[in-house]
Amino acid sequence: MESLSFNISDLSTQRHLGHLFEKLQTMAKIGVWEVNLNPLEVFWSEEVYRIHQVPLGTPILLEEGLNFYHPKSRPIIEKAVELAIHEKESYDLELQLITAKNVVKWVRAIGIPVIENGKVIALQGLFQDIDKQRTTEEALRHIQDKFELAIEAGEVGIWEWNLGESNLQWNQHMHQIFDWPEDVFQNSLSDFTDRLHTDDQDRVADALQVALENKTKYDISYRAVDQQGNIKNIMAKGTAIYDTEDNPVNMIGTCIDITKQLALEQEKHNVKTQLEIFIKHTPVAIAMFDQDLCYLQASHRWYKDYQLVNTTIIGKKHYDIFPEILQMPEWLAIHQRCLNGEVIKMEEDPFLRNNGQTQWLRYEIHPWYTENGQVGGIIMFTEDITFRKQIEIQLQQSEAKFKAAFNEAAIGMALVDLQGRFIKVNHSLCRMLGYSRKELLSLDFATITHVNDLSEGLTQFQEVKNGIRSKCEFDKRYYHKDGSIIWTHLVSSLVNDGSTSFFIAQIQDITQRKHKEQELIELNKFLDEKVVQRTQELLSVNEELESFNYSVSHDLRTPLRSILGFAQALEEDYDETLDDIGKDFLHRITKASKRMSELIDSLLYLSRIGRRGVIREEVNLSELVKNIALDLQEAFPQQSYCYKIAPNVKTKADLGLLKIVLENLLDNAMKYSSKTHHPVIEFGEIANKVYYVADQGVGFDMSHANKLFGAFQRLHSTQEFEGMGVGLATVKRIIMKHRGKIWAESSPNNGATFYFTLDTQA
Amino acid sequence: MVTREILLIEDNEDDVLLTKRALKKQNITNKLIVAKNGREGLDYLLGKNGELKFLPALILLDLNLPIMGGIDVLAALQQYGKPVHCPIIVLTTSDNEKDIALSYQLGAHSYVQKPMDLTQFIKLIEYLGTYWLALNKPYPAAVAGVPDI
Repeated sequence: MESLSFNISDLSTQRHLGHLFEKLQTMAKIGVWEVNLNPLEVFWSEEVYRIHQVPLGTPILLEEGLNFYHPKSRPIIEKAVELAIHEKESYDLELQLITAKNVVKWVRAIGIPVIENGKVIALQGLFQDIDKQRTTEEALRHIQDKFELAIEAGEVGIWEWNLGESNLQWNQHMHQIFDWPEDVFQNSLSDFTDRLHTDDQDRVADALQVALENKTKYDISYRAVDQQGNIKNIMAKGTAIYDTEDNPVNMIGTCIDITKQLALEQEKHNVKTQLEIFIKHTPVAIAMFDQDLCYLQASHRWYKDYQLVNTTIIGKKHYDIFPEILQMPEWLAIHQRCLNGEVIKMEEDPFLRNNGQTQWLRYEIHPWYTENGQVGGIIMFTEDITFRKQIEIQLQQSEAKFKAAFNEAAIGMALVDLQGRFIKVNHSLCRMLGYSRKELLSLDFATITHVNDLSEGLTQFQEVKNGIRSKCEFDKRYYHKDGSIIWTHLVSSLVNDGSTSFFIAQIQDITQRKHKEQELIELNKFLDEKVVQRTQELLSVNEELESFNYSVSHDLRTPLRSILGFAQALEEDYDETLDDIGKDFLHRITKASKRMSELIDSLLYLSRIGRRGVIREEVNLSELVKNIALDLQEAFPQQSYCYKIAPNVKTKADLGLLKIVLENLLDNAMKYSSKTHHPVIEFGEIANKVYYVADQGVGFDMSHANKLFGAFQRLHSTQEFEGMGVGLATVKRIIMKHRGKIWAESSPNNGATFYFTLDTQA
Repeated sequence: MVTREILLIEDNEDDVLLTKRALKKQNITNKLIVAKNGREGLDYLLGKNGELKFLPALILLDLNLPIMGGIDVLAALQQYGKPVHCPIIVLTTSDNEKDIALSYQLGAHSYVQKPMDLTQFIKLIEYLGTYWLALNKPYPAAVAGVPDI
C-alpha cells in the first residue's frame, strides 16, 4: 500500500503530471479519493466519478458515497471506515456497489488513514473497477462447479500422489471406481499397484516412472479387480508438478472406469468380426450373380467347394466357369426361372462334373432385386452333400448286401423282436425248420423251441437285454414242422436300428454234428465198456495163468517125480538084474526127467518175474555190475576175466529186477567167452542212457537174433554151454517191465554186445 | 510105549509108495495110515461132535487133494477151535507163496516141498523123523483126552 501513497497537495507544480495521472487512472480504471474529516470534505478523482456513474463534479457527501454500496457490502465498508478513522487501520476490500445508473459492479476499495499528531485527519484511498475481473473469477468458479458436476456425472476419480510424503490421495469417486475393500487401500502407492491386475502392476509403475522422468503426461489403461472379483478396465491420466529445481513434487490425475465402453467396443468389434468370419467360413457356399449370370461375389466356401481357389471368377460368366452346366438343361431352366423371380430349393441334386465325378448338392437360388424393384440377378446358396450322399449310398448298398446276405445265407438267420416273435426269417431257416416264411413269421421262437432248451435261451436273451452279456451262444433244439428235432448252434446279439431293438440270430443246423457227437459218445461208452470187459478178461486170463502155473507146479511135477522116483528106485533095487543097456535106459529116463523138472522151475520163475511189480529206486549200475562180477567169478573158476566197468553209471530202476538182468547178461558174457583167451567183459553207457554189456566170446549169427530173447530158445547146444534158455527171456521181460528196450549186436566168434535202455519214470 | 501112527493125507498112490519107501529106508517104523483126501483125513482125526478122537505122531498133508484140499483140512481143524496137538507137516509139490503163507497161517508146523530127486526125498524124510519123532516129545495123549494106542 505504501507504493500507492503519493502527495496530491502540490497540484500547482504537477499540473501536467496530474493530467497524465488522470489518464493512467482511466486506463487502469483506478480512481483516487480523499475524505477530510475536519471539516468533512470528500474529494473524488474523475475515474471515481466514472466508476460510480455520477456526473463529474457533483458534490459528494461521505454518507452519499457510502450509500452507493450494495446493501450486502455497506455494513462491511462502514465497519472498515470506522476502524480506519478510529483505529487507524487501513482496508482493502472488494465490494459491490450500485452505480447511479443502478449497475451493480464490483470495486476494489482501498482506504488508508492519514495521521497527523497521532490523530486521523483524513482518509485517502483508491477505487478500482474490478467488476470484469470479478465476473471472470465468478465465471471461473462457475466453471469449476460445473467441472465438479462433470466429475460427479462422469464418475471421474481424482487422485493426487504426493511424492515427498509418498502419499496417494483419492477422492470419493476413486473409491467408487475401484470398489476395493476399505482396509486394502492405505494411501500408499504400493497399496495401489499391488492391488492391480498382476499383468499390469509393472506397467503402471513403469508408466509413472517414465512420466516423472520425461515430464510427460501419465496416460495409461490398466485392469483392477473389485471386491466382487470383476475385472475393471480403468483409464488413468495424470500430470506431475515440479518445483523450481525440476524435482517432481506431486502428480495429480484422474481415473475413469472404461470397462463398459471397452466391452461395448469389444462387442462392436466382435459383431463385425463375427460377421466377417461368418461370411468367410459359412458352411454354405454363396455366390451372387448379375442378370447375365456373371459372378458379382462368392464366399470362400464357394471357391473351395468348386475347386476355384486361386481362380478369378468375379465378372466371369457362371457357365464359363462350369461349362458342364450347359449340358444340364434342367439347371439352365432353373436359373432362368430364378431370374424371373422364382425361388428354387433343392434338397439334393447331382452335379456331374467334367472330371467325371458327381458332386451332390443341396441348394437354394433366390433372385435379388435392385432399388427400383427389378431382378438384378440371382444368389445361389449351395451345400456340398457329396460325402453324406456317399455314406447314404454306401449305407443303401450295405443294407442291400445285408438283405442279400440275410436272405441268401447258407446259415439260418432271423430277426426276432424283444417278445420273441420273428420279424424276419431267411430262406435257410425256413428250409431248416420245414416252415414257409409266412408260417414262421406267425410263430414265436418259444413255440418251436424244444421244451428242455427254453429256459437256457430265455436266460441268455434276458442277460443280453440287461447288458450282462454281449451275445447269446448255445446249442439248442428246434421242432421241425414234421415233428423231428433239429439241433442248432445259435448265436444272437442285440441290435438297435435307431428306433427299435431286436435280436439278430444266426442259426446253424448241427443235427448231423450232434448225431456224430452222439455216436462218438456211444462209441466212447462202448469202448469204455469194452475196456472194462477186456480188463475183466485180462484179469481172468491172469487168474487162469496163475492157476496154470499152479497146475504146472503141482500136476506137472507130480508125475515127473513119480517117473524120477521110481526110476531111481528101480536103479537102486534092481541094479544087479539090469544089464548095461537097461541101466543106460534108466539113466536117460532119470536125466530127462531132471531136465524137465528144471525147465518147469525156470518156467515158473519166468512167470513169477512177469507178475512182479516194478519199484524204482536210484541204482548205481557200475557198483551192481562190480558185485555181480565178483560173485560170478566163483562160478567160473577155470577162467580169469578182465572187467572194464564205466564208473558211476546211475539210473532209476527196480534194484532186484535189474540185478537179475545184469546177472543174466554177465553170466552169458562170461559163459560164452569162457573159452576165449584172456576174456574181457565191458559194461558202460553210451549216449541217451543206453547201457551195454559186451564180451569177446563166441557171439552168434545175427540172423538168429530174433530167437535170442524167446523162452527156451537156445543158439548153442546144452552140451556146448549149459543153460535153460530162459535167461534172456527173463531179461527181456524185466526190461519191458521197465518200458525199456533191449537188443544185441554180434557176429560169430566176434563177441556179443547187449544194449538196453530203461524208462526211469514210474 | 506104543508108537503112534503117522497119518499121510495123500491121493497119489505113487507118492504114497515113494513115501513108504522113504520111511522104510529111514527105519521109521510107525504105522502109516493113508487118507486119500482131506475129508477122509479129517474123519480119522475128529469125531461127530468135533472132538479129537485120534492123535497121530505126525500128519503129512498134501495140499492138492480131491474132495477136500490140504488148505481146507487146515482150515477145518482151526475152525474146530481145538489144538490138534500133533505136528502137521505140509508135504507138497507146490512152492506157491500163497500156499506157504496160508498153510502157516492155518497152523501148519512145517512146510516142505517134495524134492524131485528120490534121494533128496529120503533125506528129507530122515530129517522130519529125526526132528518130529525122535527129538520132540509128543503131546501126552491123556492130556489130549484121546486113547493112547
